Amino acid sequence: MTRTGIIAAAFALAATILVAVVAQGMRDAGFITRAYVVTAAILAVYTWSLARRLSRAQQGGSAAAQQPPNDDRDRRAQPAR
Amino acid sequence: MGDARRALALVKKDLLTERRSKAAFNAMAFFAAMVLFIFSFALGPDVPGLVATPGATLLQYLWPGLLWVAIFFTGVLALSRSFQVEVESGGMEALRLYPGDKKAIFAGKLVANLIVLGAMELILIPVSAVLYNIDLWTKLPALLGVTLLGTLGFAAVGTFYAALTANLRARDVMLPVLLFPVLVPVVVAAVKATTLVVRGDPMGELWTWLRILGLIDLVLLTVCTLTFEFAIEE
Amino acid sequence: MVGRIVLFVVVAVIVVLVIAYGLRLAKLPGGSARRGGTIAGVAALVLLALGLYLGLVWAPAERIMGDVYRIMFIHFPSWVGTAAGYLTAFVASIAYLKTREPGYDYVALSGAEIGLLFNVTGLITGSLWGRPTWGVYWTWDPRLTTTAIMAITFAGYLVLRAFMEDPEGRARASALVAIVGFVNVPIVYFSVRWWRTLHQVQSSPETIDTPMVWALRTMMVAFLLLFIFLLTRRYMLARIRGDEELEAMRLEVAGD
Repeated sequence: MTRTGIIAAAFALAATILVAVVAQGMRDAGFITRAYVVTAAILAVYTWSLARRLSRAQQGGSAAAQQPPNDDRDRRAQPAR
Repeated sequence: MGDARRALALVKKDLLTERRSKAAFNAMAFFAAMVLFIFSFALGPDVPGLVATPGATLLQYLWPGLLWVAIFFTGVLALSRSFQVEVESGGMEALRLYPGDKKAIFAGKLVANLIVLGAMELILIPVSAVLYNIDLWTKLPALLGVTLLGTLGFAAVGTFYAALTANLRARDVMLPVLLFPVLVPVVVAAVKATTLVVRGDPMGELWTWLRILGLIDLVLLTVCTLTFEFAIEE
Repeated sequence: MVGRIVLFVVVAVIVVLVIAYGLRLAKLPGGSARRGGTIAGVAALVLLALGLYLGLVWAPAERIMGDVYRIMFIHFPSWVGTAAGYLTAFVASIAYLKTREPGYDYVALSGAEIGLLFNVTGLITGSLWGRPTWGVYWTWDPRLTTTAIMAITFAGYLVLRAFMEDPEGRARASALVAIVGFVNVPIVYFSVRWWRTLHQVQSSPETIDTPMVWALRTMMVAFLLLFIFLLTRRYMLARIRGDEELEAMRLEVAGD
């Protein structure tokens, strides 16, 4: 739960509500709503995930520096890819 | 030893190895036959279907596209093996330490692949034409020209990506995945040109498409040649 | 005419700035990149809010298409993000091959991944816009085909990286994929265009009314800022992981 992630999720939610309200009575409202909601969801999920991975990496860094690296675990769990 | 002679030496070495390993060619032959037969079963030998030319079966109508599908799918089998021998015998190291321009290596591998692909096509084209009842005799020169140009583009990017993926265990997956998007222009132009050759060319577009295909080949060859040395590093 | 020149210059300047930013990013250690990204992120939020208001509430319905054109306020900006991402990946990949600096590899990876993210939203919004307006979810016209090919190319970039463990080999191979793949984009576009001589008529921004133009421009800038924010964060993540990986390898070698 990072601050960035929460902000992104909240924004996406707000955008969804906005679209749902504004699209009432519009022709093709379903397509408009879906397009905005899907885009907001994709961007928010990615931002949330990225923020979480980043915060974990930043915390895990100081801990890992003190331990001898376990190579298999490092490569599998934290690839630079 | 000049670069050209090095390239030729590589070609000879590759082809001799290929001749000795009949297994690869047999796999390709079997695969090509399967593709042709599956299309035949799927599209029906005598279904008139929705065709622009009366009297032509669906298979005849679709033959240009089906031919190139068969060429590309079968060809990938050959391309994925083009550095196989080196990787297995630890020869990639030898390739890297080869004196002179790495471009000569690319040229050698490219020519070897062209010959293998060409041999495959020399069988595939007549056999498919017979199976699908297509008259090619009068159009042979034009068809050979189109096939050569298309195969050149295919072999260029195919050799490049084969070198790139040579050391991967997932090579058989990655080669088609990487190759496909870069092959699209070649596919578009080659199929269009083949269609014009086989079905008639009322507006005289064939020359334009041959030039387009040639231009695509030129660009792809240039990019791949320039970057090949990076592809076989390490 | 003047408008077109101005537009071209503006776009060119933005492109150069984005590339310069990406390349500069590569030289920064993980922490310093944070602030620039945060500023971009905050600005993005503000402009997104403004753009959504302008696009959904303020701009009027279109004469022919009705309201469904509003999808364009997220569709075109998606391509801004896509282009920025892939362009960054392309330039950073060239820079990597020349200098072998890992930072450029991290920037390239970030550009490719975020470019693909916007590529996907672009394809989805385009499809959802196409269905009610053209009647089909997909056509094989030059633009759509090219964008689909771009997605496949850079998805392949990411998959290739997943299969390679050696950092230098991985950076080098994926750099080649990005470079050849990017060069391939205009080739695909033109070959499909020559093949399909029939076009779909698409409305370009010049034929739309002023309130719509402002909403569109706001959203485009907003998405660009969002791109910069995500690029920065992704770069930081890649650098932290990359540095750890290199450190682990160094210790492994030293331990022998």
